[in-house]
Amino acid sequence: MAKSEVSKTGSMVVKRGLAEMLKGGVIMDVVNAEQAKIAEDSGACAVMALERVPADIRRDGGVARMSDPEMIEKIQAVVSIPVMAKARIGHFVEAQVLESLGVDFIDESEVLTPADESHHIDKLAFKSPFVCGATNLGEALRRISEGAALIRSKGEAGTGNIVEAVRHLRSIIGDIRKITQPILPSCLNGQRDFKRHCLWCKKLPRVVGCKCRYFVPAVSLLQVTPLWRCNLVPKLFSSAPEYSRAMTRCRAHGQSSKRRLILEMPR
Amino acid sequence: MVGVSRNKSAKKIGVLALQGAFASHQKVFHKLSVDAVEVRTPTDLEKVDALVMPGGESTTMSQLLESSQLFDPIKNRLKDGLPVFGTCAGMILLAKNILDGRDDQLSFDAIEIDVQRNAYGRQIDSFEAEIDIDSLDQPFHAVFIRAPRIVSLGSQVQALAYCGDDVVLAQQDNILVASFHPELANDVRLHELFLKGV
Repeated sequence: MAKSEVSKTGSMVVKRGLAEMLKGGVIMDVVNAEQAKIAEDSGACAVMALERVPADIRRDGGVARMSDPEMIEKIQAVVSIPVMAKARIGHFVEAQVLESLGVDFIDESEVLTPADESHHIDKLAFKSPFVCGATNLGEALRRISEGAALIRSKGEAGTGNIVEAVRHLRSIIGDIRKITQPILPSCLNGQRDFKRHCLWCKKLPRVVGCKCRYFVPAVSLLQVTPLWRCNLVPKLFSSAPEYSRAMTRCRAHGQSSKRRLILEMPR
Repeated sequence: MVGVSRNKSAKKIGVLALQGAFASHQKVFHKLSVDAVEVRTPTDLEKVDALVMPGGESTTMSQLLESSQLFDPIKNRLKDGLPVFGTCAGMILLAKNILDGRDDQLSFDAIEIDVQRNAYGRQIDSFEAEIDIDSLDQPFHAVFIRAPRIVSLGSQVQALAYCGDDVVLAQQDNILVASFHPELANDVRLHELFLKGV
């Protein structure tokens, strides 16, 4: 009776599967093992291991690289939730290092200094899933064709200004709506790539991550609410550990009628 | 009269929607033309006749069960025989003992199994495999994501499927658990099986 066929690892199904599991959760940016522990204690569904939080990277300038492998290992040792880490755009060697460390999700991130101005990493060549930023549907589809398992918005790192992220999500969702209409809207008439786009769209991962520095749960809900209606569920990246607990709970309850919770959560 | 016909035909399925892959489960039920509602509050729970606990992050869900005040109502309903299907993290929540969990992690102690979290390794070890399920003719395509492993079963628990030497699908009375994700497999048969018991 006990029998199993040959199993397969690193497939797209498995990669997107993890993205599905992160839905509705909070992913915390952390720079050391202590912060990672706080994040897990607060109910984060994953942590993003960084050398510096995006706000500091932006402020300090200079070249921002992949996180220190030793720090990633320390974080992996103290938490049981998935550990994510960033690699520079196009820097496939950094990605290889992260994969061999067993990082659960690799973020090919514009927050770090790009390593290649014309090519992104060939993400299909990896067994680890990748998350990439996108500002519009075209960009999202290019990243997906390269093998991204999860798409997130791009924020204005470290500013706390949410408008960029909202614009990106609105744009992506709006375009998906347009090109998946049964009758092609006139604005898209004659668009050569329409059919191909539609095909891609069906494959678009049903998870969109939101990248912004959230200071108040109300802001995170701003992102959740329009997305929810579109059947896309965002996950949140946050930089402020003290807010993660509040936000995790807020996220879960925000869809219920108890909007008062939003007021009470951060206290 | 309306009440009678509702009781007979339209059992209401709830999907615990605190965090994780609850929307995928809803899609599967939608394919089966069954209404599946999100359960986020004790009031939502009162309205359902069966519950699915989806995959996700069990430590996160454990905290949310507490803060949403759903833990005790669910535990009570489980005692009263509420049919529940737990997948992956959902299975962890239902298990008697959780190995490699957090000390403060809650579990419903509803099925006599010991589970080990992330027992198959990190995401890079996540895998797909064909498994044979006792009551199904054709193999089932099972997707394991950072999956928990059932390390021991109580005498009351029935093993329904194996992957290698591990039990991956098990049942004890009203509780059905899977260490894999039937909602990701594009296959409705396991959800159908669950509905039969509702």
